[in-house]
Amino acid sequence: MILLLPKIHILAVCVLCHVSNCAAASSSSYSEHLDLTPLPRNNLLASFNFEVYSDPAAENGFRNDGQLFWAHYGLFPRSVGQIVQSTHTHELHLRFTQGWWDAEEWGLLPHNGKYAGGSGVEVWAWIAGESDTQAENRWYELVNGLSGLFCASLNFVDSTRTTPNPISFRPDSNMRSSFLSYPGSGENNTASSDLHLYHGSLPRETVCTENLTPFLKLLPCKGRAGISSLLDGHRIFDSKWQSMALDFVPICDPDSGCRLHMTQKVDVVLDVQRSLQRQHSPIPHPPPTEELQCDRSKPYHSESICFPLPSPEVVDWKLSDIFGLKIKSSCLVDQTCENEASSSSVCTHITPAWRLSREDGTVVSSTPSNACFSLHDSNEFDLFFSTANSTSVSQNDQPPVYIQRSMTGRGQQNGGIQTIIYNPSMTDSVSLIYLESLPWYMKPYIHTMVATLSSADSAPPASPSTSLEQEVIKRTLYRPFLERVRGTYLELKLEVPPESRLTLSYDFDKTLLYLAEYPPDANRGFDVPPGILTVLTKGADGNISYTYALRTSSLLLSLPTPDFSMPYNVIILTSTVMALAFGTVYNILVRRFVYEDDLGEHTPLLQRIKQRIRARFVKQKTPAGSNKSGKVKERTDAEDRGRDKKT
Amino acid sequence: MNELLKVLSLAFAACLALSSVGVHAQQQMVLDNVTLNQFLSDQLAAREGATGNHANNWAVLVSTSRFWFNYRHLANVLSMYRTVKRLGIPDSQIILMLADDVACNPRNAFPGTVYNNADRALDLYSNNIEVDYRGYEVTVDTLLRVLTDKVDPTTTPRSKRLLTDENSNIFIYLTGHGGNEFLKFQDAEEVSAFDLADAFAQMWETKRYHEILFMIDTCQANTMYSKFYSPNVLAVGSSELDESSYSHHADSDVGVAVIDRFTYYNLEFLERVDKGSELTMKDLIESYDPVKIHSHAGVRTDLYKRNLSEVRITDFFGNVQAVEIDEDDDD
Repeated sequence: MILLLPKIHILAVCVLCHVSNCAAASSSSYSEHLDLTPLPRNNLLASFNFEVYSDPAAENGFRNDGQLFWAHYGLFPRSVGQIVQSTHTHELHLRFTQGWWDAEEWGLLPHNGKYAGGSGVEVWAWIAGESDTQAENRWYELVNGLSGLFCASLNFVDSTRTTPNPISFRPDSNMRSSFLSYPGSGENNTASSDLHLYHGSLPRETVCTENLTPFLKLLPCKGRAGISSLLDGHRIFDSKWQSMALDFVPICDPDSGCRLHMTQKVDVVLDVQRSLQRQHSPIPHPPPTEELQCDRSKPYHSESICFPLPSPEVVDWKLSDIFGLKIKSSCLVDQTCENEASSSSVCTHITPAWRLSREDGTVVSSTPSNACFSLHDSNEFDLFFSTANSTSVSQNDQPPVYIQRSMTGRGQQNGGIQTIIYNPSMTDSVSLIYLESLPWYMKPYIHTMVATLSSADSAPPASPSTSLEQEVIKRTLYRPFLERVRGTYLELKLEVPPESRLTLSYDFDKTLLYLAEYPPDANRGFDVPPGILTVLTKGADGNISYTYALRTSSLLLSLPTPDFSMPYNVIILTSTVMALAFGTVYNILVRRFVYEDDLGEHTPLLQRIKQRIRARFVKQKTPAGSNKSGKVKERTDAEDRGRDKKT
Repeated sequence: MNELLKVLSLAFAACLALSSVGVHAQQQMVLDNVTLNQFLSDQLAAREGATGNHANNWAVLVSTSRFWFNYRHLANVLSMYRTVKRLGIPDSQIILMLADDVACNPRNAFPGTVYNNADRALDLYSNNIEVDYRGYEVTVDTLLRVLTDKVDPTTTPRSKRLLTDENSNIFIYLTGHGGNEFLKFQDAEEVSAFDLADAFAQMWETKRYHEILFMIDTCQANTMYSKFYSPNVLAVGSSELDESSYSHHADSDVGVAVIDRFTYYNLEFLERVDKGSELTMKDLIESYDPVKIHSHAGVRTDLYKRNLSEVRITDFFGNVQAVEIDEDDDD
């Protein structure tokens, strides 16, 4: 306790030194950034970017020689740090995505698709472990811990939803093997503790405010100040496409040691008209006649006849209308320096047709295509956008490849998957890796896989040639499914020539599951995770790098669903049949039908038993005087025999 | 042949006799009043200090219905969630289980928003919400495991566990579709009143609660608490046997009913309660009007030894600790 006090004192002083000595700090430990890009048809792409660095290893944290202690978290969130530390995770990537990215209208995915996932929740991590089993157990611990932290059902990522070691992912950190050892692991770091990659996805998972809340709570200002104050669930989840990403990567320098880098990104494509309309009234209403903007190119356009434009071209909106809030002050005002580039900034990517102005009325010059504003004072920030031609947007590069995937076939026994990959480039062919993890109840027949190439405009040829397959599919990595243990893992290395369309198709069988394996809403169907397409580029030095990543949509698989009322029906029917059968048999055995005339004196059963017992006793006692009772007995016996004969 | 049939029928009769004995034994489990009171006083005597004050408050709020037309069940639970948070119970001490997602449902005309009133004045799905169990995770198995803490301690995160101790007051609120001694989970399975009673008994044995307030808003809700036999359980239900519980009103823009009657009138009362309020459970029970609720709300107090007029609302709904100020300056 006594020894700790000076340590804490020193640490506190060091923290203050770090903060006040602006010029000495090479990079601030927290920075936030917002990019605004108008898209065609009055959409707006807003990319939020938050980055936090942990303190360098020289002060505390990781050390290269393998010994570690982690005493001071600072701005780095402790909740994620502890989960990652206890499960020996080196790199963690988590994605929450909803919606569909319209690549033809909007072009490249933000950040080249590196921070966008497939619809639902996607998680992949590099985990240190001496054996596969140990690493896999740590993976399950990791996803369970994340499920508690992010309020998502990540605990459903079990062996049936996990893909080990796909080649579509590469670590961001520059260390390839375990350089970190954690307290309690006993030995120093050794090369024997390898890194295992696990990838899991939950395409059915909804993303809502309960996922955004803990995401914001990881930030230093917790979503109350700075750019993060714009993140409101009511607008983010009213978008055409949104993706929240969390990346946790160790960065190691030979001189300054290792630090942990956490990146949080939120990318949203908002419909400007819809957001503006929500400001007025929450219920969609058509605009009044005087506000209609007409399509003047129509032949019948006149004063009285108006064909409204699909999206108006003369627009005028401000940032607080789109998000419903203004940016309140700056996060961590103390941290930024006057002469350095601010760690909190807003940038726009517009064309000269747009005019920007600030709240106080100052008009920003419209000629530069990127106008940036730094937030380093504690005032509110708002930005006005206006234009007479909203169709003029900054040109986004064409994506290197387009992909779409769909299900074919009919019926409940089998079906097919068809994937169409299109290379729009005129000159270059494109190298791709395509990863598909199918659930175990979808049983593909890989021998039915057919790859056909066609030029962009024509339909695929009827009979594909097998040599073509070898040209296009360079390498196949395939691991078949094991029922109820793991799904199919299929990874293809493809090369698509310029301006051509590649159609991949294969057949699969559907499975009838056990009753307990169906979800409560079984008739909806089952979700198949999206396929992940990664574009490879060969650099000048011959190194291959992963330059672009995109995902298909998830698919809805309708499996044969039993009639869930059948157990009840069977029980009722069986019970009825048993009751009827038993009742009939019992009646046949026991019930006697006697003519009324023959019945005579009906003595009840008890009386007859008593008579017989008395008869036997009387017979034993006085054999001489038994004639009378004997006669009675004989008579009853005779009668009994007579009755027996009748039945 | 005749003999064979006779033997078979005798065997069948013997089976029937044995099973009827079994059924008879089951019925004997329901204790009569005298035995129950004796059992309760034995239990309380064995636990010293069981009648003292509580030290912390927890809440387990469960909505068991799936699908868009059961919006009102989720609005019920979210209203209760908002109330207990307002009165001080932190998120770390609330287990919120929502069987479906309506706020970000594509059918919701107000994305990211859940309303419990047609005037849309209050958004229950604000920017600070933590749902511990959602979607397919909400099952009977999960509920009973959470209550009895029979979870895997290595993989279950702390936010998903009910970490109560013997000084915890727990407010348990269930809503959904139910019937005579059962509550339906997600249209696929049911939890019976016996299961819940046994779960509470296990909680008592393992010293996991000081007092429980059990509130249930379903059809024939009062039957759900008829089988409890653990001490210190106060139960409130929305309707009697063979009575349905009804929704209060619908919002034409949302398109479905937004709140149930019993919960609506509970909330009307609870809106008057703040952290320092002296209102008691007796006031709450007396505020139930069968004419307004359209069903006869019931309360079970035979397991609960304290007088309801001495039990504050904040003993269960809030997180108010009794603080003693030490006036002595010498210490």
